[in-house]
This record gives sequence, structure tokens and C-alpha cells, in this order.
Amino acid sequence: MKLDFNFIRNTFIAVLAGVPVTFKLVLVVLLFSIPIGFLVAIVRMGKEGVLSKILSVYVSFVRGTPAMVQIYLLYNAFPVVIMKYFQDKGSGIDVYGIKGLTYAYFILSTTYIAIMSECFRGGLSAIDKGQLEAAKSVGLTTFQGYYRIVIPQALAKVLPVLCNNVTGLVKMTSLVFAMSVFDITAIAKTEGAKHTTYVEAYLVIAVMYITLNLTIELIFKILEKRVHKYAGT
Amino acid sequence: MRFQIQYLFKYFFKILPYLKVTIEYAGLSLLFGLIFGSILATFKLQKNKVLKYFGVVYTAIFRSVPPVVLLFLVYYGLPQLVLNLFGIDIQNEEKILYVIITISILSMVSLSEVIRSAYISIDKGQYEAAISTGLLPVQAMIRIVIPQMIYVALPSIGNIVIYLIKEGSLGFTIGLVDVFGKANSLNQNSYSNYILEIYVALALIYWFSSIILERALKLIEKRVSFGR
Repeated sequence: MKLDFNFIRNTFIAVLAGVPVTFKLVLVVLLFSIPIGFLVAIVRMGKEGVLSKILSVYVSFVRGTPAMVQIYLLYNAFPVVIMKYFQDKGSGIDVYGIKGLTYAYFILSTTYIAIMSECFRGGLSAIDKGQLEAAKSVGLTTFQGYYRIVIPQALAKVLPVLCNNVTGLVKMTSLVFAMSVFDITAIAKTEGAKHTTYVEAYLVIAVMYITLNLTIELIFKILEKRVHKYAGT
Repeated sequence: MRFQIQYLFKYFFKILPYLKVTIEYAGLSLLFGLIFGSILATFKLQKNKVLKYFGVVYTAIFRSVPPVVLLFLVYYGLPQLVLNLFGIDIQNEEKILYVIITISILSMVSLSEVIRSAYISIDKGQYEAAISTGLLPVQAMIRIVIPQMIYVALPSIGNIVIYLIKEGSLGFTIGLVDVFGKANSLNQNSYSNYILEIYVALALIYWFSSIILERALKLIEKRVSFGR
């Protein structure tokens, strides 16, 4: 097998245009899924309540179905039905006018809210209830108790899982080609098809993903060392 | 157009038989993953620096590649590689072969980490005590250490099986006809008239499978915990 290095260089340049898209996807989805996922985790910590039940079904669904199925359901199937409904009503809302990137933000976020909530729930439940109660008994509010006492301790427990989730998210962004969003995978796909040199194209982006994910893992390793002091014994 | 529940049932049962393709690649990938994952785990547990770093680097690389990119690389790259190295043409092999290879690599990497940490979690004294009672090293591993490792590793292995099924669903991108591929062709044949029913049915099939797997795993865990 001979690799065409000329083509590797050309694909690399072409694929660079997709790098900001991949970064944007990762950052926006993290921005939504970390705070909302944390709220979901707190709601689910209290076992009773309808909301907690609904959320647990949602988390189970997201974790039990492939990401691609969720994309097909929310990007391909629902809009067709909703559009027909609007047309029947004579409404001027155009669902097809929504850009693929908006769908991508929405779908990846709904998936990652569930995944993040599971990660936070694991971290929070590892912290003894007495910690929050003790914080309250010395006069801290619930918010202060979480912010100053529980979260720093949970963070130390959560970081390795969080790292896995972030690299998982980077990997998941490679599926957005199904929503005609041109991230690095989608560009490599079209470049490969144009010149029928798929192997070179995918090798280029594989190296890019590996570099990105190993960098993320390195950053988390450094962070883990820093928060280690909160971990207790 | 309305959501019609009878079509949901109709398509659910039309798609369901193709779950055997999913079970086929998940089962085989788990088997290969366990075999090669054990080998990779032993590499990582070696004192020998070369083997150890080979294991660590191999894991780091394949853990970082998105499954869909790996699948495309295997699908387009492997036939060329095999043709050049061995002169064998596998271009016309069945699609499921590429899915099995891809998912096996992914499961091998995850399982090697699970097996490694399970091995570390078993006290060295267990093995030494077994040897001191006259068992051979192989016997000590098979009778004493590995059963305890299985108990430790089982929850993670269950999660990996669910992960394998989910990542294997990408097989439709290279034209594999599993549940996902079947759903796509049913959708095309009905001119997207029942698109929502079809994909809801597909999602339900995956969802139910993973719930059943999780339940089954809980039961097995209870049985294996016998004596604890």
C-alpha cells in the first residue's frame, strides 16, 4: 500500500477548515451540558417526585440508544412530521430553515446533559450526606454548602469520569456529518470521495482526533493533581 | 400526517428479526475483545518496558479515535493492506466482517483496561496461597484468581457490551443491514411516509435491548456474588 503524501498534505489543509466547527461543537455542548447536567443530577438525587422519574426515563433512553439513532430521530424524523403539522395548520413556521449546526448543538446537548448528569450523580453520591448537614449546621446556606463543601470534594472524584466524557464528546462530534454539518470528519469524507483516497483522508483526521484527545487527557491529569488535596482520605 | 401506533408495531416487528445481526457482531466482538484484551492487559502488566509501552500507546491511540473514523479506516484501508501484504483480495467480503474488526479493536482496548484493573484488585496473597497449597500456576489462575477477577470486572464488561451494540449501529454507514440498515431501507421503500414510526420503533428496539441486558447483568452479578 502506498500512501499519497501529496494528498495527505492537501487533505490536511482542507480539513483545517473543519477544526473551528469541531471546537465550537465541543465547547457549546459542554457549556450547556455541564450546568444543566448538574441540575438534573441534583433533582435525581432526591428519589421522589414526578420530575425525578421523568428525568430518569430520559437518562435511560439516552444511554440505551445509539447516538446515531437519536440523530435520525430528532434530525430526520421529527421535522418531517412537525412540518406537515404546521402546513396543515397554515402556519408559516419553517422547520427546514433551521440550520444543521443548530440541530447538532441541540441533539449533542440533550445527549450530553444525560451523560454528565450520571457522572455528577456518581460524584455527589460518593460524598457523605453528613458533609452537607455539617455545613448547614455551622450556618452555611444549602448553596454555600454545595459550593464550598460538597462540590470541591465531588470534583476530585468526578474528574476522571469527566475527562472520559469530554473525550467521548470529541469522538461523538464525528457523527455530525449526518446533519450536514461540515466538521473535520465530514470534510475528510467529501475529500476522500472526490479523489477516492479514503485511507489518506481518514488517517489525517484520525491523527487529529488522537492529538486533540490526548491533549485533553493531559490537561485533566494536571487538573487531577491540583484538586487532589480536596479528595480527603 | 399523524403518528399511527399500528404502524409503529408493524415496523417494530419488521425490524426486530435483524437484531440477530447485531447480536452476532456484538457477541463475536466481545469474544475477540476478551481474548486480545487479555493479551493487551498482560502486556501492560509486564515489567518489560517495551511490551508495557506498546500496550499503553496502543490503548491511548485507539481510545482516542472516533468509532466512525476507525470503521471507515478499516473498511477502506484493510482490503488494500491485506492485498499488499498477503495478496488476498477481501474486497468482496461481507460488510459485517469490517464491523466486527472495528468493534473488536474498540472492545479490546476497553476490556484490556478492565482486565488490568481487575487483576490489580486481587490480592497477590491469593495466588501465593494457591501455589503454596500445591496448585500449578495455571490452576491457581484458573481456579482462584480469574473467578475473583470476573466478579470484579462483570459490571464494567456489561457496560462494554452495551457500548459495543451502540457503536456497532454505525455499520449502516458502510452498508451493513442490521436493525439500523433495515430501518433505513424500510424508510426509503415507504417514501418516508412513516419515518417517525420507523425510527421510534428502531430506538425502542435498542432501548429495550439495553434495558434487558442491564437486568440480565444484575441477575448474573447476584449469582456470581455467591460466597461473598
